[in-house]
Amino acid sequence: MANQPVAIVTAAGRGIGAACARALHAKGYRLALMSPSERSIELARELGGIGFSGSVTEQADIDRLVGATLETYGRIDAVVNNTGYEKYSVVEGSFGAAFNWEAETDPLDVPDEYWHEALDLFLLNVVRMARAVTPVMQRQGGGAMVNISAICAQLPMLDYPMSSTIRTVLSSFVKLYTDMYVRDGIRMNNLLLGYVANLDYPDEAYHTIPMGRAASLDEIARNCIAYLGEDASYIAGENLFVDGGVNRSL
Amino acid sequence: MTDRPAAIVTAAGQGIGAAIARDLHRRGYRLALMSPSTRSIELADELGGVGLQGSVTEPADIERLVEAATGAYGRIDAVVNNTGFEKWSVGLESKQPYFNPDAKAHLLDIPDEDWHENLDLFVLNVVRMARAMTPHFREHGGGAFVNISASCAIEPQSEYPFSSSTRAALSSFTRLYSDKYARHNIRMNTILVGYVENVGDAETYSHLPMQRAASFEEIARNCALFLSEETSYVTGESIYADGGHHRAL
Repeated sequence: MANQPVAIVTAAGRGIGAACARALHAKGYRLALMSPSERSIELARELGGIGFSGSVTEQADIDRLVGATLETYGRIDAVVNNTGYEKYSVVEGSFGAAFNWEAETDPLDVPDEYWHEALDLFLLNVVRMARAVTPVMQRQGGGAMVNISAICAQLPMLDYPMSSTIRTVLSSFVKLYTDMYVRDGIRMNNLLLGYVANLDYPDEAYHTIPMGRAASLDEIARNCIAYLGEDASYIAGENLFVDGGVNRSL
Repeated sequence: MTDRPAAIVTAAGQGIGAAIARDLHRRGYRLALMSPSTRSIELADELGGVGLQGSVTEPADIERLVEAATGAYGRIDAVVNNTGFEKWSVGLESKQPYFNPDAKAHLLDIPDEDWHENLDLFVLNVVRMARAMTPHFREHGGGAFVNISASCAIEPQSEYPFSSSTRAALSSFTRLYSDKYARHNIRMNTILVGYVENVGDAETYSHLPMQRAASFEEIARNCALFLSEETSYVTGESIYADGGHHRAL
C-alpha cells in the first residue's frame, strides 16, 4: 500500500478532472482531490482518497491541499492541474477552423478584470501549485505534472478569447519551468485538448475534426496518466495536442 | 501638408520607441508620442508633434493620447504599441541564449501581483489601445498597428520570465484581433525583437547568426515597413526581427 504512488488532481469534481481521478485510482494511485464544490470530497470518499473543497485561484487552498497530501501519504508523485472553464467562451461558435469572425465574442469587449481573472485561473493555478509542490518533488528526487490546457492556446479561436491568450502564456511557462527543474527529475507537460465529449457540439463541428468525433473523458484521462508515467520519462516542457488531428501546425 | 499620415507611438521617450518616432518623422508622418517620462514631450517638440506624459498601463492615459492625436490630426493611420522593460528581467546572464537553469530570475519567486502587472504592461496595453483606436480606424476605412514584442514570446528564455510568457498571449491576441478586424482593413502585427544594441556583449553576439545585435534604427525601419502599404496583405503575424536567431520553423 505504501508503495503506491500518490497523485493530486485539481478541479476533480466532474468532467475531465473526475475522469483523471478514476483512471489514476484504477492504476493504483492514492489520491488527493480538490474542487470548488463538495463533489471531489464525495469522489475521494468513493475512491478511498482525501478530498477538499477549494479553489486553484487561492494559494491558501493549494497549500492546504499539498500539506494534507503530505501528511496523509508522505509523498507526491504526480499532479494534474485541471481547472474550470472561461467565462467568455462561446460553445455555439465555430468549430475546427480557428477563424470565425462572426463569433459573438469580441476580444475588445472582455473587461480588464476578466483578463486578470483568467490569468489567475489558467496560469497562476499552475504557478501556485508549482511553488507548493516543487520543493517536495525535489526532496523526493522527482515527480511529474500535467496541466490540462486547450488547443486554442496555440491555435487562437475567437470563441475562446481567454483560453486563446492566457493559456498561451502557460505554453511558455511549461518551458521555463522545465529549464529550471527538469534537472531535479520533475517533468511538466501541457495537454492541449480539442473537442471533448462532455459538451454538446452541433453536427457540423464533427466534420472539422479528422477523427470525426470528440474525445471521450476516459481517453483524455488515459493520455494524462501516460504523460505522468515512466513511459514519458524523456518528455518535458512539451505542449501535447490531444485533439483528434485538428491541429495544422507542424 | 494634411495628406501626411499620422501615427501614435507609445513608450517613445527613448530606445526603440524614440527611434521609431524619428524614423516615422523622416517618412513624413505627423506624430503623437507618449512615455512615462517627459522625454516624449521633448522629442515631440523637436519633431513638431504632440507629446504627452503617461503610461500604457493607465486606460485614462491612453484615451487622453488618442484624443490629443485625433484632435491634432483628425485622422490617425498608424499606431505603434511599444512598452517598457519587465521588472524581473535579469539581463543576459548565460552566453548560451534560451536555456539557462541558473538564471537569477527565479520563476517561482515571482509574486502573483507581478504576473498581473506584466499582463497590464505587455498585453492589456495593446488591448486598451485597440479598444480606443478601432472605432476610429473603422470610421476612416482602415489603419495599422504594430506591437513591439520580443522573440522570447515564442521561444522562451530563462532570463526574461515575463517577456517569455506574458508576451506569448500578445501573439495570440494579435491573431484574434485580425480575425475580427482584418475585414475592416485594420491590420495588426507583432514584431519579435531579438538582441538590440543595448543588450548583450561581444560573446553573446558570437552566438547569433548575424554576429551582432540590431540597431534601434533597423528595428524602427522594420516597424515602418509593417505599417506601410508594402505589407497590405500581412496581418495577425508575429514577425521575427532577430537576425536569424530563432530556431522554430
